[in-house]
Amino acid sequence: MNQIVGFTTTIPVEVVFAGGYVPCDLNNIFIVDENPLRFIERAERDGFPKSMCNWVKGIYGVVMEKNISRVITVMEGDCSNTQALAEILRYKGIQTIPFSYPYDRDREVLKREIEKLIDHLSVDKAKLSPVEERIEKVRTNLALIDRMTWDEKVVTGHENHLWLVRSSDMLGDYERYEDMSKDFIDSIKERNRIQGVSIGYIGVPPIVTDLYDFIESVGANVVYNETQRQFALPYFEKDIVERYLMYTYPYGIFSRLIDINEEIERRSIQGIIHYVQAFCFRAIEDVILRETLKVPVITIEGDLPKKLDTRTKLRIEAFVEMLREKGNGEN
Amino acid sequence: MLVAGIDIGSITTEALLFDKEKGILGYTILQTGADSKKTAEIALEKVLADPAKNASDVSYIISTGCGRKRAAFAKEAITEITCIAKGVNYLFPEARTIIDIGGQDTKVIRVNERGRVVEFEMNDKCAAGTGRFIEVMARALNVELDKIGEISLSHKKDLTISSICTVFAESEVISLVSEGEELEDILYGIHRAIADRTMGLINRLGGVQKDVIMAGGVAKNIGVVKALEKVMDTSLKIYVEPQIVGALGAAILALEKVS
Repeated sequence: MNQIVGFTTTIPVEVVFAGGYVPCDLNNIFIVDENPLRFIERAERDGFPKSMCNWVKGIYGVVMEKNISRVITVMEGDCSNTQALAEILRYKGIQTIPFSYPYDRDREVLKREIEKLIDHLSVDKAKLSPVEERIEKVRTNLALIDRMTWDEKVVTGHENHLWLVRSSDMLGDYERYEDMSKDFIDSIKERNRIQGVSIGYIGVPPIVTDLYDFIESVGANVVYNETQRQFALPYFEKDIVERYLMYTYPYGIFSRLIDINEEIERRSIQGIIHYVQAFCFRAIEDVILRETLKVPVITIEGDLPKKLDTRTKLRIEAFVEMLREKGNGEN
Repeated sequence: MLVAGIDIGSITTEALLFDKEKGILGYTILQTGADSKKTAEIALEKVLADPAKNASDVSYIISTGCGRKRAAFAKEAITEITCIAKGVNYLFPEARTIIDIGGQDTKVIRVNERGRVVEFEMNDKCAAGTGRFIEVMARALNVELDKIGEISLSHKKDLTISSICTVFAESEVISLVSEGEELEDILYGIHRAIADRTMGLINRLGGVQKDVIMAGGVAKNIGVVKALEKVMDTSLKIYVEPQIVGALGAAILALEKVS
């Protein structure tokens, strides 16, 4: 257990692996649990308010319930609640290692942050390059899975989501993850092409559990998972600082918009589902997205790790009907 | 050629029979109740009995509304957003904005000249600002539901109900009563709150585009209609029976399927 290093969002995972640790994305541990609500309940028992993001409460609950002793907390470039989360974890005796993505995308500041992380984890720099080389192979496979989602259309939106979102920690073992991804690619080559309306999913990964299945059930398929794809670092830069400078997610809405618009075009996306988490500051960014994107946008909000509510289902189904008519040239 | 549409809503269920040549042949409106499947069957039976037809005479049936998947006799289920747009387009071809306020949903739909949905907005998870909201307020004020619209028209004050959450608004309304505010002023405040919330949805679609049509059961509440017209600064067009628009759209879509 001592070798586990938890983290609150994607960090330069190469550094953690090179230090001989097992990286662990706390979000993933929370959401794949058989009963994720227990982590939220733990946080609320410890005094977290009802009216706040349940991802944050889930992360806290995971750390406490699973006795994780060391957590990298991303103070800038992710969630506005992380500072308070880091403080309470520290107060509870957990070692917290702050990491920040500079909002202004300053190369020197990011370089310094990565160096600080290397120092914190006492990483032998000589071990970093071989790890980076091997991880590049994993990311190459993930990029192929992503391409097979929108180009060959043999990967479902849900599969795409899972492969890319898990890349933040590679399930704690990048060599095994590479083998798993290769096996997956080999297993899907003979699949039939997926039909239906092409949807782009933007925003943080969903807390609701059946979104992708529902989208597929009404005749659409997600061909782009914005943030999850970013977690998989689709930029093959040799330099670690450059790689994490190109990563769009932490650097605000305008850096994300460039990526989203490019992918809408490249993937022939017919409509966008913008997911926002209840009580998240990112709901404000929705205004800019809706006014900027060139395809129809529907915004859905999730709160708890449960199935979609009926009204959200209706909205998604009507959205897909609308896009289908439009795609048929009837609009 | 005969087709039918059935709209199984949270509060009422409407069945409508439509003929390619003659248009609307008849319709029926029932309270949905606890067994929406059964109600849908009864509604269809009633509407068929009215012009003395058999189910076998009907070429295609489409269901819509929140209970749309409960109608086993329907050949297809289509969301009420698509159906309302189609129904309104049949009645008002010049419609570009539709406001539909039903039992638990408020929808604003931007529609083109062919009755296709271009964009839409809808209330999110809670039923604030919908028919249910009005029902709760009417109960809190001990006023009959079908009277509150008329009563609110004689308001003298522009009272504001600042909470739109049904539970909080109910407390606020009770406080206003205990402070001695007049019934008509409170009712106006309630209708104004609904209108403001609906205007928020309209603004998310880029503002009012004429003609604006109102549908759904709440269109029968003159207080809400007037409050909406005031905040939008334009008049609303309303079909004589605004509750059947979804079922009508379903029937027209059914006709398109078989034509």
